[in-house]
Amino acid sequence: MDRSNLVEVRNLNAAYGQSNVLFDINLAIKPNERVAIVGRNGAGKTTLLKCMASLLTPTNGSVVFDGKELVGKRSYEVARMGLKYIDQDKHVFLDLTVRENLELSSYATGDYDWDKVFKHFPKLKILIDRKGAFLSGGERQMLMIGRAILGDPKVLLIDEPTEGLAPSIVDDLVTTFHELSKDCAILTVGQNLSFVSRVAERIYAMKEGKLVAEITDEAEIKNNSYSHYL
Amino acid sequence: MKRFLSSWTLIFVVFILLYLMKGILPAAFLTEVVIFSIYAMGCSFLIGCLGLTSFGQPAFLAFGAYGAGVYLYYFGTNSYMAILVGILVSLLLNMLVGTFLVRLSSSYFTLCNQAFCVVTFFMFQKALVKWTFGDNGLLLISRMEPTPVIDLTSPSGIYLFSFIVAILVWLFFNYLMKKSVFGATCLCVKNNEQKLRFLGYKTFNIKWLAFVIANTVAGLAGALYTVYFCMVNANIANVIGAADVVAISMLGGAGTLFGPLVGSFLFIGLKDIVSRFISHWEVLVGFLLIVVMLAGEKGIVGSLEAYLEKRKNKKSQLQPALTKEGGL
Repeated sequence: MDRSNLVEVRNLNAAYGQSNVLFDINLAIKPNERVAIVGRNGAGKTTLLKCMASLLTPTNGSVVFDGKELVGKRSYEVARMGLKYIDQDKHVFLDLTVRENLELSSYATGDYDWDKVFKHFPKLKILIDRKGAFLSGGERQMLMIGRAILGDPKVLLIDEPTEGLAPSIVDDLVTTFHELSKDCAILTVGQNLSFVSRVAERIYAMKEGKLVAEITDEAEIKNNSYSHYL
Repeated sequence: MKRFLSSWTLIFVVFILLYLMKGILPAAFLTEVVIFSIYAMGCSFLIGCLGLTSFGQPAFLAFGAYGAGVYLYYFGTNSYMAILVGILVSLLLNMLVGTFLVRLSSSYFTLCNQAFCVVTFFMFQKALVKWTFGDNGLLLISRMEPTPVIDLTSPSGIYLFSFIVAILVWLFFNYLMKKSVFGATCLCVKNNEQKLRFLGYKTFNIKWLAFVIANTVAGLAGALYTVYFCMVNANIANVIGAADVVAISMLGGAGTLFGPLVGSFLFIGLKDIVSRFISHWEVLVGFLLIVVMLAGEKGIVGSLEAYLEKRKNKKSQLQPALTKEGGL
């Protein structure tokens, strides 16, 4: 493993039953890097994140995080190690208030420093006693990220963060992602190329379960000129 | 702090009112309601807070009942001690059984609990008949001696004692469900177990502990039954009674604090009153359950709480809560 890499995925293959979904995936993430995976629906982006978060066991290959193999570990162990997964359905615990949702994360991680959450998402402080069921999509996204950053994770895996969000909220998310990456690496997947271009320092293009290109050139990223890979 | 005090005060007020009903309603009826509500509390917690429906509750009731019964029949005469032994036996057996059963989810959990209940019934009725005397049971009336402070051998003593125990159980569940992180994690297991794992929780431990707590409370109710009836027989573990406690939990409102009490009051009340006029009183309970479920699926107390909360949220949303400072 390259010592400068925080996460390394090597020759990863995954399948749902008899159907192969991922084919020999190789990727790496460095500390505090903002990386994005783009691809069409069904390209395998979410499956890849799920394999990395140990929600799905790959058929073969390995995921090394901070020098430790993640394949075979349980998802709660991976979360405790500092690799947090935020999925796309914006599911917060509906019966619990914002405060209780944050408390849950604090209790699991031992990190009660909520100031860092409120620094990124001041609105959560206002909504602190509101139940999850009464939050909007954007507010739920804030809460999910807020919950995840407690415990100072080293990597955040964020699946389709902009899905269903208003453009103004997406603009704010760009700033938030830049701020968050000062403390941890971010791997996000999505189809919103405008968002990805403003957030990512490096992009992997994914097609039919394979990584078909790695785009590192800043100009190419800014101009969305990688879209022909998709 | 104000909210914290108010929920405790509410518990005391409800139970004092119930205790004062002694003047209007028969003490035997109220004692049965209170003990049954303790039994239903565990089941209600499992269904409402953890999303696990168990049709095996009579087995867990029987653990406590036989723990107390065997102690009184073979070893001692003190009813306090018998209740304590019942709780301990129940606790140990639940810790063991829970290790296997909570690995299952939804329907499999329900069915395996039911199967376990059938096995337990068979054990108490046939396999251990030499010690349990099967359907005849252990008759304890001549073996129980008066106890100090509250005499558990007298009807008024067991009535008062059951009330005190019920208040303690209610206070415990009030803390567990409304104030503790553990209670919140239980709700999250019900809502989305996988999401809880993302936060770093080992959900097996949460389910196991909840199972042990809920069923040990059922065991406590079983021990109280043994002391109250001065006997215990294998029928206490009969799977036929499994639906009763689930129906009570659903009727009152699963996962609510007062649901088991309201459900027990209605269920036992209907059984006592309606059965005087109609031999198949269960039909009325069945219809009542369907009507309550169609009205909101949250039971009587659950629906009332939801209505009050909706009103409260409507009011709070009318106020301009959000400022521009909020961002995002």
